[in-house]
Amino acid sequence: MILSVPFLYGVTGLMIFAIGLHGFIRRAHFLRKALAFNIMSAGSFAFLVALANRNGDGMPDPVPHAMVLTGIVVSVSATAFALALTVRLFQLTGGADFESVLRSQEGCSPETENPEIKDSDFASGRQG
Amino acid sequence: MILASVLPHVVIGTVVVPFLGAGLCVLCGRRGGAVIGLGVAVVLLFLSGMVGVQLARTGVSSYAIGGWGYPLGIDIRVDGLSFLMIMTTSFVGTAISFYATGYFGKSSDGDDHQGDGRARDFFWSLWLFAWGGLNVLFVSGDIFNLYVALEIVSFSAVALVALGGSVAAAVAATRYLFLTVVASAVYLLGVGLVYSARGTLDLAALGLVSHPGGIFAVAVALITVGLMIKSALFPVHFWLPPAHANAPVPVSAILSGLVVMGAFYVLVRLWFGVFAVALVPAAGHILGVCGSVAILWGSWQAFRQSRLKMMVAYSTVAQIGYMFLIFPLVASGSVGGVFAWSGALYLAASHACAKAAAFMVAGSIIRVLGHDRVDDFHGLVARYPLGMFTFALAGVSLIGLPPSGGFVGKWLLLKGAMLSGQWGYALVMMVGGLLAAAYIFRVLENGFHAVEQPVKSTVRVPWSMQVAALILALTAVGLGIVAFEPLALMNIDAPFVGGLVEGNPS
Amino acid sequence: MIWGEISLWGIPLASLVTAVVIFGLPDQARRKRFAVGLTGASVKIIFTGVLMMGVARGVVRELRIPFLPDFDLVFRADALALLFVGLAAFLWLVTTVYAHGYFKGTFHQNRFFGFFSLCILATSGIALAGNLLTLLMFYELLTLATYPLVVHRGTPAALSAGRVYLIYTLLAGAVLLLALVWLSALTGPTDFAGPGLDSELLKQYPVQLVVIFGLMVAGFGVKAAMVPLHGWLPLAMVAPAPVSALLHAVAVVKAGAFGIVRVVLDIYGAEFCRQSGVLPWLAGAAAVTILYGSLRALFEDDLKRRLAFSTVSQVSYIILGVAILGSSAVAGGIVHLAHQGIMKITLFFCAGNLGHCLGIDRVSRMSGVARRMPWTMGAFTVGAFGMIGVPPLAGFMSKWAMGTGALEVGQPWVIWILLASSVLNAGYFLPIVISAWFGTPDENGGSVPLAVKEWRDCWSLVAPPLITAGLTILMGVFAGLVFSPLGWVARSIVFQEYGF
Repeated sequence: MILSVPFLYGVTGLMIFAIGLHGFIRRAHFLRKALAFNIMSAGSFAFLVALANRNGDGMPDPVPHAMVLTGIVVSVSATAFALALTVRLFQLTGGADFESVLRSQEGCSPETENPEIKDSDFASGRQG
Repeated sequence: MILASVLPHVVIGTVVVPFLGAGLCVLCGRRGGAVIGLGVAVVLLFLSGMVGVQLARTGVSSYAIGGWGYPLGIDIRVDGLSFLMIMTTSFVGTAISFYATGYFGKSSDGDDHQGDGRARDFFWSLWLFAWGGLNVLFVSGDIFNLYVALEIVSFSAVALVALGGSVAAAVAATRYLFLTVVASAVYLLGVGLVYSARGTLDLAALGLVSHPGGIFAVAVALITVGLMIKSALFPVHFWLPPAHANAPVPVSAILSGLVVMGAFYVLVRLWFGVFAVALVPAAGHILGVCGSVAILWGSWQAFRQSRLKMMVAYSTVAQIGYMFLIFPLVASGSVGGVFAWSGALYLAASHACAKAAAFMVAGSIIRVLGHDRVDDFHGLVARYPLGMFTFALAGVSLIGLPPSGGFVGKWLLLKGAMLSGQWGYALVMMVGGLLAAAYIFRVLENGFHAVEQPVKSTVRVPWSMQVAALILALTAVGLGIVAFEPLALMNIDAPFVGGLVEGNPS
Repeated sequence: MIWGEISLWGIPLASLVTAVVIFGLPDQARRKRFAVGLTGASVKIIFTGVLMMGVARGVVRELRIPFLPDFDLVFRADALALLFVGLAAFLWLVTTVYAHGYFKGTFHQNRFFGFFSLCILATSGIALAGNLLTLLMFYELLTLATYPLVVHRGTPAALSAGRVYLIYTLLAGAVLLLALVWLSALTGPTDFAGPGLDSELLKQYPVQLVVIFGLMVAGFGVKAAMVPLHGWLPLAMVAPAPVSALLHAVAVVKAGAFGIVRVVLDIYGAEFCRQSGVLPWLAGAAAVTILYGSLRALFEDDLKRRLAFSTVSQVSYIILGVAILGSSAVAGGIVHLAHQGIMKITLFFCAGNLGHCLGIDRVSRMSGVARRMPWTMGAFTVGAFGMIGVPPLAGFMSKWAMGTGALEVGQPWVIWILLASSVLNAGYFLPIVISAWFGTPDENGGSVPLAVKEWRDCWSLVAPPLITAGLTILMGVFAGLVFSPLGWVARSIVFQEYGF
């Protein structure tokens, strides 16, 4: 029972999740963070798929599968979103990790230390 | 009689209408957003009122979507707590929508700044998506459904932050996104464990199971950590202030007032509805200590900020801390828990009103002065009295001075702490209130500072912005005068509250 | 019967409506604002009168609004409440007239008068509160509503005084809140109408109840300016004269003293207080405050600060009277609430006149000033004599009653305190009076027509202190009548309400 295939799947899933989390925390580049997040998601999906065997009779429980499907949708949108923000930040500052982005801000505008109202508020300040 | 047949279905409207509106906004593009958004807001306000009527008539109710009830389908469930959240969201949301029509209104000199134009185009659809997600959150009777709703809310919220357009906003949005997706992954893992331990995702069914077990404890821990990140509890609060402060003002109000409350709601729902069997006082104290530090640290940081929006954002960190005191105080299991339960949730609702109002005033002040540096507010009371008055009213509730909803919430929490003998939390609340007074009055004092020549009022803030803020601030104060009825309504079918509504528990 | 109900609602509403209307008026609408203020105050006085007649017939109105699970909002028009409301309402009327003249030609008057009315709302709420939670709510409202008045001028000095005021009062509010929650956790909700705490509780929680008593006295003691919690009061004198007059001579400090009276007589109850042994401490603190305030007043050259320290001293008479807890002493203490209010507001009005018309704010520059402003200094003299306790003025009546009361319960040391204080009062008031009337003017101030000029130029500044000075005399001379403050206190409050 201990070394059954679903159990191995589950443990592997958790390990993948942990690897992903580690990478997510350690890697600075936005792209790597996005990849790491995908690895985390894959790990938790593997874990959920393994759960589908909870009856132990070979008939998979559909509920975890449904959860995985939803989770994939969420993870795809999150990835797309992260990539879009990365591109935007790269265009604005030429950097793609928090440190370089913030540093580039310090370099070109002295106001970042004490951030002025940014353009949205500024523009709207002249309305009304 | 037609009422009786329609009322049970109204709750589904609170979920469907905002999503329909959001879709319409996408289709109609840049022109129709404000009209659709405002229309949806008014309809939702009405529907929420009807949900309340239904709740008062029949008590807690379940609704099986499409007739497929538990265990096959997904249930929608409305009790007093859900209603409190829906109603608060609708009320504050309507005010914010009203404010946003002025904020994103036509610019007088035809100068359409790039970032601002983008914000105006996408604000309404994203906001309605977030609103719909929140309402799903509040009526879900299913732990996985909560996950989906949380994702809808989080993604809309991140996108709303990014609407700020500046680099600071983009950075804040990116940080928010990364943290929230990790939180989601952790939460999802926790849900998986819950399912493996219990074989069901239905909240009510989960709550009935009685012996916790090790896997379940791990699941509780994972879910709690995920929701702590999403609700920005100290020490994972650091994403919140830049995100809330760099977003456009209506977005700041939405995030600080409502979105944060959503994650907190889920945690309350799960801890006291589902994990009640797993509750040990020690676990409550972990959250309680985090909350206490959040109160002190957040208030102190708020006091130190130079920009008003940052100050208000840090104030949110502190106020979240108050809400999280519900966990140790209720977990104590004494009669004090009854008070603490009502107090923390009442505080959440009043905070939504007060905080949204505070952000709105910050936005109006930026219009008047062109900046929000607190130390340069000299003469503002003379120049913009209505704004400062509104801010003061909101501040009264944030400090927790009477009469205000914040005071009622704090009173009940204090009473809970006293009755359960947890003195430390009472003292933290007192100190937190004084620190809050320090930052609120720092703003007012600068505003009262006389300037050389008295300036005539030169405010050109759209009246919709001013009225919306004033109404919310007055509501935050009013909740401290008319408290009995809201308390009674929100406690329908609350887990511990038997004696509270009837009267004297002690 | 319906009138009683309407009046109970009407007393706070009169101030609230006035405030809202004034906030809505434009800053230039000086006459309209004046009319609104006068109307509000008059209406309030009428309502108070209706309720007083009810109480005289033995009908105490009560209004109960469900509020929290453990506390209702209760408004209760008992005799003590009406004494305070009546005082506040009457002085509101007088001060409205005064401030109308004082602020002529300045900015932000609608802000001033609006918050001013809110202060009166808070004061009447404190007076009418039927339990400690209701009282606390209005007590904090009073803090909030007075802040804009203290910092009204917006100068750095005003702002820093406002900050000190807030630090003191908000800390006090927090202490009070803590004490109240604690007390209600031990004993359940307690209304003022009840008989006080059961002595059985003293055996159950001997230490806790005494500590709570101490916290409550400290919480109220800040606003009552008891030493060593008085530091905010002299600083707050940077506020405009009408603010100092009404708020720091009447509303704020009296709210504190009133709170202590409620705690002793209504929350804990006379019986409980005697048994628990807290009263000697309270009396001692009051005595120290009386002497310390008078001593400090001796050495103040700034007129308003001297008056402020005099207030520190005089307000504690009320506390001392209640702490002695004999029937005459309680009567003397409580009636001082009204007597001291009328006398002190006279003095502050006069100080304001000197500052406003002549630019004199120091005692050392007051030599011969009475020749230039005889009406003002006449009123000042009456007020000062009243404070010293010269018979038959109002101040004498309170001191006499307290002295008799002290002897009744065998505490003769109080007599010495009263005597010492009177000597000190004379010490800091008489030199002012003497040099004002008999000193040589340091400027060439002209002579005879000035009395006429004073009256003609600023009648709205001169009339109010004359009215209150007249009352100081009347309240003393006719103290034996039923509807004089002393008669009201002795008969309706001390005898009927508390049954001494």
